[in-house]
Formats: sequence, C-alpha cells, structure tokens
Amino acid sequence: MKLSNESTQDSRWAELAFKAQKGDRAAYNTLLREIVPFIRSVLSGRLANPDWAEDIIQEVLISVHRSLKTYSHGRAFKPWLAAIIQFRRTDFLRRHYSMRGDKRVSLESPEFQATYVTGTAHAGEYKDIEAALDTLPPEQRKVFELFRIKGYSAKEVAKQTGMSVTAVKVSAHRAGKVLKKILQ
Amino acid sequence: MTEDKIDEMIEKLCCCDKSRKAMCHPLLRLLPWVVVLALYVVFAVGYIGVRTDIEAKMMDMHFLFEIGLAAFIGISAAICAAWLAVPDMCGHKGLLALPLTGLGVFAFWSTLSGFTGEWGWPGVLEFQHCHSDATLIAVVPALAMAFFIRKGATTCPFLAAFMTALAAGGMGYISLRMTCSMDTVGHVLVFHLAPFIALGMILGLLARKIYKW
Repeated sequence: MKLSNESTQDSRWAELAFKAQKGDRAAYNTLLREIVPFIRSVLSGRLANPDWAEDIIQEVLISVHRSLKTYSHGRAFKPWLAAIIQFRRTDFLRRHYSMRGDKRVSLESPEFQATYVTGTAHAGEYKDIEAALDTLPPEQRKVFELFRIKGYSAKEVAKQTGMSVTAVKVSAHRAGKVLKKILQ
Repeated sequence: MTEDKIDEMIEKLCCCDKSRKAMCHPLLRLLPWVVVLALYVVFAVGYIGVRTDIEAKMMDMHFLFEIGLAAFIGISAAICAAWLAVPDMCGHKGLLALPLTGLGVFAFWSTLSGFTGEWGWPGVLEFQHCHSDATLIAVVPALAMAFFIRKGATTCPFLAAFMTALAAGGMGYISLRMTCSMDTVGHVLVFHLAPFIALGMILGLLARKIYKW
C-alpha cells in the first residue's frame, strides 16, 4: 500500500514537472509546494542542527528551478530530486564547517574572558550556562560539549564516546532542548 | 515565519518562470561533441605528422590493444560525462564501472609491459615535443567537454572533472601514440600520460567552480 502511494506520488510529480517544463505556472507552483515536505523528511535526521533544514530547502527549490530542464519526462521524479537534495545538503555542510574555523574563539583568550567571564555585561550568562550544563547527566553533557560547543562532527563524537552517530545526534538535541528550557 | 519565507520563494520562482525545453537524451547531446572531437583529432594528428613506422605498428597486436583500450576508456568516459550532466545520471551510475575498469586494465597492462619489456625511463625530464602535442590535442576537447557538462546540472563535480580528463586523455593518448615513435613504457608514462594526469588534477581543483550551478 505504501509503495503504491509512493509510486502514485512520484507519477503525479513527474506529470507536474512535465507540465511545468511546458510553462504551466499553476502546475509548477503545485509541484514546488508538494515537494517541500518530502525535502524536509529527507533532511530530518541527517543534520546536526535541524534549523539548517529550512536554508537547505530554499537552496534545493532554487536548484530545482535551475535544473528542471534536465528532468526527462517518463522517468521517476524522486531519484532526480533526491540527488539534488543530497548535493545541496553536502554543499551547505561543507560551507558551514569551513566557516567554523573563523568563528572559533579560545576560552582562554583575554578578549573572551573580559567579555563573557569577568566583564559585568555578560558574566552572569557564562555562569548560568555552566550551571545549566551541570544539570545534565555526565555522558549527555560530554556529548553536548563535544558536538555543539567544541564543534566535533557527530561521527567524531560517536568514535570518542562509543555511541552510534544517531544516538549522539539525539542526545545532543535533547540536551539542547533541556538547556533551552532552563535558560529561557 | 520560515514557512512564509518558503512560500514567498515559491511565488517568486513561479512568477518569473517560463517554458523551458527539456534537454534531449544525453547521448544525442554527446554526438556532436564526438564528431567534432574526431575531426579535431584527425586534424591535429595530420598537423603534427603521423609516425614513420605506423604501417608496421598497425600489425603489432600490443599496439592495437593499447589503442583499442585507450579508445574504450575515452569513449566510455565521454558517455559517463554525458550522463553526469543530469543530477542522478538518469539511474545509470553503473556505467562508471566501464572507464574505471578500463583504467585498471591499462595500469596493469603498462606495469606488465614494463616488467616484461623495457621500462626506458627518460634520463632527463625536459620539455619535449610530446608535451606541446598533448596540449594541442587534449586541451580543446577537455574544454569542450567541460562546457558540454556545464550546460546540464551535475551533482558530482569531481567525478565529472575526472571523466572529462579521462575522455580527453583517452583520445589524446591515441593521437600521441600515432604521432610519437617512442614506445618504451617510461617515455609513454612520463610524456604521453603525465600531461593528461596534470590536466585531470587542474580540472579536479577547479571542479566546483567550473561546474557550479
């Protein structure tokens, strides 16, 4: 039943794409709106930060717009779309992690200490974050610090802690939710 | 808020949308490139001058095997490059095995030829006519192939660059073997293959920029 629904959906999108190629704007509009939940579902669980999904969705939609001419009528639409989603996801992550180095600040740097530790404007915040982290179980805290604070990839954290990649992401996400609740 | 942004983007994309002609079959798109390339290579070989012992070489089984293998690698790489211009290669990812297998066989054949025959490494690495001939023969087809792939939308830029280099390199190698009478494995590796390897490395470094879309 599920396979039948999926193939029906694929056929529908293939037909909409074909009409869009002919200049049918209504069909194009419908197609773009209908593929957004699919793109979101493909990306969910494959990103360290779920907030990135929306940026990637926008990039995928632009890519679909640019490359629609490469889609051949009569072929399955989802594999074509999935290839674009994977490409843009990789692109986004590469850009994100390559920029990370520029934003890294040493916790021992005098500027950081003056602003966030001893400085009066933000001193409380640093202590609040430390206090919030103390409420987490030791293993979850370690995962969160490695993954979200120090910027290790999920794979690297999994290797260090002996957990699976999925468990690392779930643990970090849950820790983030707990911290958000405490710090709000 | 984010849903609004996506809705806004969809409205913008649909607003400025117009009909677009779907790309024809990748192999049909490749055909003009193959014809032009063949003519160009014939011209280049004629301009450089065919080797004096070509008639004898055409009876040599090893020579014919090398030429055939290089042609197989070049043509299969060109076909793969044509499919790579489409995001999911139209489901023909298995085709990539052809040029890669050919390359593996070529590497094995060259190693075997070196050990059973004469390596003949050049004593001094200097700029030879083979380098300029290789540049003449390979650069234009490589640029044409890169332009051809750019017309599509590749999701594997490095692979596309690699196939471009293999396609141009395969045809270029055949041309050099037809024009240069030095047959030792060392000379062939250093002066006939190295320019194409360098071309591949340059294309690989620039792949993301060349095939950006």
